[in-house]
Amino acid sequence: MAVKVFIPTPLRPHVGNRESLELEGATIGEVLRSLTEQHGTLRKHLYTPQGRLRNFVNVYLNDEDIRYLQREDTVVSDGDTVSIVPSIAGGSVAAAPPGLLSHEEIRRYSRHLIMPEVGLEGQRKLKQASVLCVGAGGLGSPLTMYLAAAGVGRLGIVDFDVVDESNLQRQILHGTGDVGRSKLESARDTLAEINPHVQVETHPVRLSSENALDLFRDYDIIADGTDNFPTRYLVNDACVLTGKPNVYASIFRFEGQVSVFGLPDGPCYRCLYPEPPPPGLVPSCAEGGVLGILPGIVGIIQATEVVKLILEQGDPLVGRLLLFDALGMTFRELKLRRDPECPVCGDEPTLHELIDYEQFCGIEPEPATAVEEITAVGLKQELDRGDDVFILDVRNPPEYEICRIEGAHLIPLGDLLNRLNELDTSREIVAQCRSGARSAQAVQLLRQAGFRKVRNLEGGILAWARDVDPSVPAY
Amino acid sequence: MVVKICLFASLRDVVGQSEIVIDSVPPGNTALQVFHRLARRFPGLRRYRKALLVAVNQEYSDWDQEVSPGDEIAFFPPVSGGAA
Repeated sequence: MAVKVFIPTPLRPHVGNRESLELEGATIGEVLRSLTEQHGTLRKHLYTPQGRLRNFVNVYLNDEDIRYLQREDTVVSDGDTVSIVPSIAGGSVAAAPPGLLSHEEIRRYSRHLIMPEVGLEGQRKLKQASVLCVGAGGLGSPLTMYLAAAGVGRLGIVDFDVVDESNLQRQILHGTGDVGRSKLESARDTLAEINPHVQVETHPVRLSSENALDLFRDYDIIADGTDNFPTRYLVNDACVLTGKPNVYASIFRFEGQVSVFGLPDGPCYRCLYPEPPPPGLVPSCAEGGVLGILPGIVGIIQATEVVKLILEQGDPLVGRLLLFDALGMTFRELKLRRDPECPVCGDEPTLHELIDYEQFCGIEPEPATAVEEITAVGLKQELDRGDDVFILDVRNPPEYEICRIEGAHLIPLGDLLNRLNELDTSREIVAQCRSGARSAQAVQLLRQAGFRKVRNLEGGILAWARDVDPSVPAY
Repeated sequence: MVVKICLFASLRDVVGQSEIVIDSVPPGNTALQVFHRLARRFPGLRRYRKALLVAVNQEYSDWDQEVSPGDEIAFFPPVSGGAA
C-alpha cells in the first residue's frame, strides 16, 4: 500500500527537508518502520531504545489518532494520509495541522475532551468548524467569546460599527479603552486573548443582498445577532438559499427569543413572521432599552446551540422558539411548524434570490408622507414668544426621569392611542422623544387620528440639550 | 368562557401587564376575535395585529383557530434587538 506521510517541520531535516514522503506498508507500524529504515536519524525521535513508539509522538491516519484505532497495527489503504504531529521541543509547541490538536490544545480543552459527548472527535469537529456571527454587539459578545473559548476553528464576524460608551453596559467584548475603536478590531483583540488558536476573520461591511450569499457560503453555521428587521429577513433568506443553519436570537428589555432556523424540515423565520412589522411599530433596544445582562444569557444560549450543531449532540432548537423572561425568570417554549407555503423554504418556493430588504420592510429613504418638523432653536423661539405650544413627550417614564423639556406632557408612544383624550386637537402640538424617531411615529399616528397641528422636534431632546439647554444631560 | 392572554415585549407597554384574564369570551370565538375583544379595551393594540404571531397553549396557531375555555392565548410581536 502506498501512503503519503506528512513530516512535521522540526523533523524535516532528517528527511532532506521534505514536507511529505510516499511510503509503502500494510499497517502504520510498517509504514513508520519503512520511514525510519530510509531515514535512520529519525528513529530515536520516534522510538524509544526498546523500540516502542514514544508516547509524545502523535500519529494520525487521515484525521484519526491511531491511539483510538488499532495503534501501530492500524491497517492502511492506498492513498491514505499519515501525519506525525510535532512533539514538544524547547517548551514550545508547533502548530498542529488543520483538524489535529496540539498538546497545548489538548491541555486547554481537557474539560471538553474527557466528556463522551465531546471527546477528541468533538473537539476536532469544533476546530474544523466555521461560524459567521452577524453583529459584534450585545449578542455577538458572549456568542463570539464563548465560541472562541470552546475552540471553534474559524470565527467570522460582520460589523461596521464603532464602540460607543452606551455599548459598554452589555457588550463585554469591548472595554472602556475601546470607545471610538472599530468593534471588529476590539473584538479581534479580546478573542485573541481568550484563545489564540482561533482564526478570527473580520468583515467590516454592512451585510447586504450583494454580499450575503458569498459570505455565508464560506461558513458552516450562521449566528444572527443583528438589531434590525431588514437584516433579520436578509440573514434568514440567505441561510435558506445557501442551506446554512441560522442560529437566531433576539432581545428586548427583559425578554429574549432563540431558535434554530433553516434546517431541513424545520421552519425558517418567515414561517413565523411572513411579513415584517411596519417601520417604527416595534421599538429597537435603542428606543426600548435592554437589561445589560440579557444579551449575555440569550447569547450564551445561542452559542450553546451553535456548539451542539457542530458536535451533532442533543436536540437542537429546531421547530421550537425558546422564550426567556428575566423578570419572571421563566423559560417557555413555543412549538413552531414549517409553513409549506413559505415563499423561501416552502414546498414550492417563489423566492430564489435575495431581494431589497429595506424596501421589503417598508423603509424608504424618503418617507412618503413627510412629517413636519421644528428645530430645537425654533421651538425655543416660539416658547419665548409666548406661543401656545403643547409639548408632547412620547418617551418612556424612566427617560422622562433622566431629563425633560420643562412643561412637556408625557404620554409614552405605546400608550398614545389609548390616551388620545388627553390631547386637544385645536392646540399646536410638538411631539418629542430622545432623537426624533419615535416622535415622528407619534406625529403620523396623531395625523391619522385627525390631529392637524402636529410637528416633530427634529433631533429630539438630544438636539435640545445640544442647541438650547446644555444643562440637560444627553443619554 | 374564561381565557388567559399572555403578552410579550412592546405589547406589555400597551396593556400595562404581561397577563390578563378575560371572562366574557363567547364559546366558539377565534383567536382573532379574542384579539379584537382585547383591542377594544386597549386601542393601541390594533396597529400591531398584522405583525403578531399568535400561539394557543404554547403552540403556533392560525388566527382562525377556535379557542376553548381555559386556553392560554399568547401574542408575540417580532423583536429585532441584538447588536446595537
